[in-house]
Amino acid sequence: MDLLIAALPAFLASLVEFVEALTIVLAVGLTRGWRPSLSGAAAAVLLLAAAVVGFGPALADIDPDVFKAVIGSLLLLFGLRWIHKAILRYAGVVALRDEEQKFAAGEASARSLPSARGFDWAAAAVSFKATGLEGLEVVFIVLALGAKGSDALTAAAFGAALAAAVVVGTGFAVRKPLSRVPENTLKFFVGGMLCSFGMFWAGEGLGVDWPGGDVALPVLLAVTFGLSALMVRALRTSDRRVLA
Amino acid sequence: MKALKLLRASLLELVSLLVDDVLTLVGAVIGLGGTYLLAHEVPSTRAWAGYAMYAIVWAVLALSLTRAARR
Repeated sequence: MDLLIAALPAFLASLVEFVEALTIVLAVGLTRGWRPSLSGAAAAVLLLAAAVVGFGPALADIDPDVFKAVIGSLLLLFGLRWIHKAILRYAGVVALRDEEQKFAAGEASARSLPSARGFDWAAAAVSFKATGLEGLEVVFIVLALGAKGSDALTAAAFGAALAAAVVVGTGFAVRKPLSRVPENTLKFFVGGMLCSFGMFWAGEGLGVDWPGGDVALPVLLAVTFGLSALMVRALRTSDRRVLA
Repeated sequence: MKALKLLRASLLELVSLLVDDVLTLVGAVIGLGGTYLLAHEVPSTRAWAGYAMYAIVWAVLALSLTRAARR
């Protein structure tokens, strides 16, 4: 059960985040050199790892209801942001994310950085920022999906680690942005899962006694995906101008 | 001055991880606040408060999506 509730959404969400980070790291690496690009990415990973090790144990001291309410609320906000974007993209209101285009923009941005004597700090900073922000989202998702207990946390961390291995391995093997990953489909499903899990945890933390206990979770998932599909259908028009 | 600018930019980036639409945020805040009030102040609604408030979150999200589509 933990595998399904925590590992799968953590894997899918992390896959999206790592693909986005990889696009920038590759763009910086191919235009400014691998040393600053990989150094920036590694520094961000180390900083995030230090933050998890430093602050992680303190989370165990927080009242479980308060923890669930806070994590659930943040998860709901995070999920709403993803599903909002994914619905608009599916409906044709906003253009689908194009990893090749993002890569080209990243390359152009990296080329416009001032040239460096010695270590290229500016390029490293770009790589650091991209990896740090996307990595922070992964850390947050893993903590939130692992809120149920140590088994769930282990399963969520495993899902994220597997996603990292898949994306980094594939990315460095092909040396190209992973544009074939169905980013919007993943965002749609993960956004729906995060909304449902978020509302469930937040409700439990805020004092809701869900009818049927854990059975409420699949009900929330069904409601979320049903409403999302209805919204896509309602918003979809054939002649709408697609925004970039 | 540069450090303050960097701090401000970093904070904005962090906020943007969670919120990029104010209306959706308002819906979530109303939904979660309502959940707390119903679950604590009206014990008879403890079981259904979550579903009722989730419906409000989605109603506001639908409003926000419609507004975005009309822009």
